[in-house]
Amino acid sequence: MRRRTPFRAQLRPAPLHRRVGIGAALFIIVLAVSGLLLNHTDTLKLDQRQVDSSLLLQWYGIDMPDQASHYDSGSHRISQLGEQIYFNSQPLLSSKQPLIGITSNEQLTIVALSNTLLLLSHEGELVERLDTLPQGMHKIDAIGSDTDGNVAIRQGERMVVADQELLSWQAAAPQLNIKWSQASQVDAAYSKNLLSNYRQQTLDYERVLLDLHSGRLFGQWGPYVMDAAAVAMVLLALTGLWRSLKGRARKRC
Amino acid sequence: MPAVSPKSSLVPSLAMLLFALAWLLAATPAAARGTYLPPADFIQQSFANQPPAPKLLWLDKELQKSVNTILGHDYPALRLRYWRQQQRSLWVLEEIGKEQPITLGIVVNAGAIETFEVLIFRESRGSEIRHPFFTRQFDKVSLDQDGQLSSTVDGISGATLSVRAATRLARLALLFHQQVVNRP
Repeated sequence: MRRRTPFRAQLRPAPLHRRVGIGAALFIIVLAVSGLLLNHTDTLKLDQRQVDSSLLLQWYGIDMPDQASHYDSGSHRISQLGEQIYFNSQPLLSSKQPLIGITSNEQLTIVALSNTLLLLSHEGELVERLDTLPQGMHKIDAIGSDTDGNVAIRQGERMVVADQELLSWQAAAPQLNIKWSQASQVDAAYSKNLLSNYRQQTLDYERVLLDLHSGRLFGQWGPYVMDAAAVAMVLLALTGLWRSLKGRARKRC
Repeated sequence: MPAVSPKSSLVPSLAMLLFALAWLLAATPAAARGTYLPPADFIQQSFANQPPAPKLLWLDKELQKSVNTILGHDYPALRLRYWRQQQRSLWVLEEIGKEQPITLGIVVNAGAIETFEVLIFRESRGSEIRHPFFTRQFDKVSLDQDGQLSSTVDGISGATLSVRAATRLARLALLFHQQVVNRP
């Protein structure tokens, strides 16, 4: 029959070192590997790699955002899901400003956010971003174009029309016939595609590794588990040192 | 009257000092973000309230190549508007410090920087670059033959990325100025 080791004997450096090592091995490996990867975030471009695992996305509770709006200009569609803006279902940029509408002229497609105009090529490249609105305007309520294709924006009763290159703005005559951009309905397949894209764009691997390293990935008790793993590492170092010194002392005797 | 021991008066003073320091440290980053000067106001001020009409600089492939050498990436737009009056040109440029874009207003006069202002700062750290002790280092700075700034810009500890972004944008404004001035 195997004899049970007394408790005091278990607290000696050798058994303690072994037990702590076995108990904390998994967590120490997780800490070390995630730490190593995080040290090379830039090289590995972890902040640019998006998570597309539905399991992880669900774990983070990333679901459909509350706000979704869509506008069509005839040839192009602009959508906003949460803070993400999509041009023809491709991610364009992230903005907290609400989407107001879209219009096009011969050279450009113009997207209006509440305080910004995005000038895009018809292929969706960002040509220019205008954060400064025409004088006297603080926000955009609507965007549209007149019968000549000139872009117009409106704030309350104030309307201004731009030249073809959108370099200067002039007050629009009240009788000017402007077709304002209106919110449009989208089909279920488009919505589903956008949602899938949105979920992928929302979470990057740097975030996941940071949460894994700190233990936050495992809920409110996770950080304490990782704290315990860190303490275990200190214990391992101390007991290892202790054993080594003791071994040397014995050899000298 | 009871005598006040030096020890008893020192403790509240130290506590006050620590509290003030903690408050300062906590308050500084939040207060540092913001719009210091709206770009429209910067343009008005720089041309004594009579700015010329804006012009466009298209960033073609060749120019983006030069931009890439300075920024390490293309400028995130295909065209830029600028304001020019004779040998003076004004540029409102953006570059990401760590995570958020920093908006700078730069006036170049005859190939050298005349005005260098932080207009909008969105990062949580590094806003010290808005102070004159930093911005005045760019006064009369031009580009040398290697496309580098003609004088060294001293860094600020804790604001390394913002300093780098500012220095890169200074070089970019000088490059763009050369482009528009040397146009036929």
